[in-house]
Amino acid sequence: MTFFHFLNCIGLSCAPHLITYKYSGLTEYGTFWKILNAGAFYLLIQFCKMLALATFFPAPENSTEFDVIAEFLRVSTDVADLLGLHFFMSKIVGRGDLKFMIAGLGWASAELIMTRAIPFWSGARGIEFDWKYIQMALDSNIGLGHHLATAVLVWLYSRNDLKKAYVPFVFTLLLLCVYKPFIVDAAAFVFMMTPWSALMARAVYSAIIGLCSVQLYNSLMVSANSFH
Amino acid sequence: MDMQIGALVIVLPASMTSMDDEAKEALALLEKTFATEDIIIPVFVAHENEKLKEVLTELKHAGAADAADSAAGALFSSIFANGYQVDVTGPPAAPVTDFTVTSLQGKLIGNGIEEQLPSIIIVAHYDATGIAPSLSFGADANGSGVAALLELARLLSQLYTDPRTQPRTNVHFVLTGAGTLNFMGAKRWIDHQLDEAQSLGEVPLVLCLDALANKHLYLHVSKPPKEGSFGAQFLSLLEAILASNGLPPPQLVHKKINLAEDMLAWEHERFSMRRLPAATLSGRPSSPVRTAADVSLNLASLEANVKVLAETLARLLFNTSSGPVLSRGPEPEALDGWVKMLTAQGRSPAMFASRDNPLLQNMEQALQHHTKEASRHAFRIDKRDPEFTVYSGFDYRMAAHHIKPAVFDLVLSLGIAAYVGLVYVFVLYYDMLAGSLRRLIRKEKTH
Repeated sequence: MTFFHFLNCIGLSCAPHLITYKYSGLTEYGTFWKILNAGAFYLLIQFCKMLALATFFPAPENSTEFDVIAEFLRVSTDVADLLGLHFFMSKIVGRGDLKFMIAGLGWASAELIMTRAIPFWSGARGIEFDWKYIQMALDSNIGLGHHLATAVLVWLYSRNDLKKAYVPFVFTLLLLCVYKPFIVDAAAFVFMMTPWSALMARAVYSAIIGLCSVQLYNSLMVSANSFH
Repeated sequence: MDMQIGALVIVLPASMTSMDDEAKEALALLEKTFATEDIIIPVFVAHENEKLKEVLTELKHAGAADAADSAAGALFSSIFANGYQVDVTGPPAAPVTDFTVTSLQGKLIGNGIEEQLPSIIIVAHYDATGIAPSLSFGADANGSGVAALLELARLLSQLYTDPRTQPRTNVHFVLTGAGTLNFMGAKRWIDHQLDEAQSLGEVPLVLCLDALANKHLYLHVSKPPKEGSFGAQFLSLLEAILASNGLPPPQLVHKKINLAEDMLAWEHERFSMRRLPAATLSGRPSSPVRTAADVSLNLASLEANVKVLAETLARLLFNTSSGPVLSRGPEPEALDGWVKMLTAQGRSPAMFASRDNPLLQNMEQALQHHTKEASRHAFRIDKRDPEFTVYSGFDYRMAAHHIKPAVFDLVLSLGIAAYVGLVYVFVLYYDMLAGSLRRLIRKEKTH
């Protein structure tokens, strides 16, 4: 029955991505190749980040402690993600909401395949049962929402018809997006959270960012529509 | 044994020395059961460690959960409870095809022509047995016998270096293998000596040593020794020396050889069956206790017994009842060293299948050092009609994996399907949700 468990994990992790692709209107606009492009771009950005990490940041000696400075610096390289998203979205021709959907979905799908395929294949199929595979699948679901929210925020930041008052909001939200792993890991260490509560924390964190970004997006759309 | 179980795991304490007498008795009972009964399932023996303790406590909790109060509780635990799947890896236990029994021998040649002088043979078997082949440390049975024999070789060889002190009797030292397999090494050795080599002259006494680290000494014989024979002299000398040292007297135990029994009781019976006067000197009254818990012995008792034995043999060799003949007794460090080396790992007969066994080499070297013509004799077991079959495969790794019952996967997939359904609904009606959110914002703007 462990192959069944493997299928369970694959289903749990991939289903939201597939549903998002099929039922949120992306199929009408022939976006499959653009999403693949986004995935390829993700790989490129990750490669550059890894080079930078290997070159400039030493590996942590003691893995049980939480070295604040080192972790902070390492997560800072995720700013490259933002730049990558921005660059990619500026290259797409199309509607605004299509741009960030393609970018976010492509990013999240590539991350899903790259970070989950091998652990599931080698781990979830084994005899030993561990809750961590289900947790990983749920985490990739959270990642989908997170990347979509990040893409929205990057797109909003690049627009110049955004109300001036909202720009600092977008900026802080972007920073929160980038430093989410750092903040959640620090909180998990300090409060000694179980894996499930850390997962819940990540979900809540991403949900809040998602809601705020949806609000900001709607405000832009409203102000754009209000010209009509 | 009627239950449907796949295998049995017996957990021993981490250190054998920490076992109390009750535990040792239980272990001895288990060993007896396994030695005599037919068991169809595999039995594994493990020492307790942290991980095994964790597994056992979890299983105990799971077992307690089985007796849950409500049906719902029982149903829940039957779906979600943690189970274990245990697998054992290692070389499969296969019969050893070319099983050879190695015995080591050495001799001290008396003053004169060797073939015309009488010979005393001192014998000890070097193997041991226990609940599992690699848990056969046998400190007392028969590590004490081997240590005693090697120390005796050293002490008596001092007499044979100088022709002025050299007795007119040869002494043979034999360390036999497969002693726990009905003393087969001794049988093959004496058969070879009497039937093929025919180099032994007169043998007035064969003395076997077994389990000497005990306070009382017993001399086991198949036939009571005749008046004036070496055996009778040995016994009276032993009595005298023990008395002079303030130790309890030895007891003569006469037990006829029962050929109807599967296994012989003592090693000397092999020699008695070839009509040689033989006896076994042992600290045990009825039979040696061969158990896996035999990992250490009473060194003081062993030293005292070896001292007495050496002096008895020395006086016997010179045919005198006055002494002391030997100026020095056994070295306790030497005895301790031998016992530690012998108990460093298991000594079941199967573990001596390879000729390069370092223990054999060490014992052979010790005999070479103190005796003449030290050599090995290897006897191959007849493949067509083996008296015993020995199996290889001693140490295995056991891995216990957490598993969930099969129903769990089904329940989990139902949960995942429900979750995915929710996501589907969310994505499908997102516009509706987003639209109502926008209307809320617009309403606020108009206000």
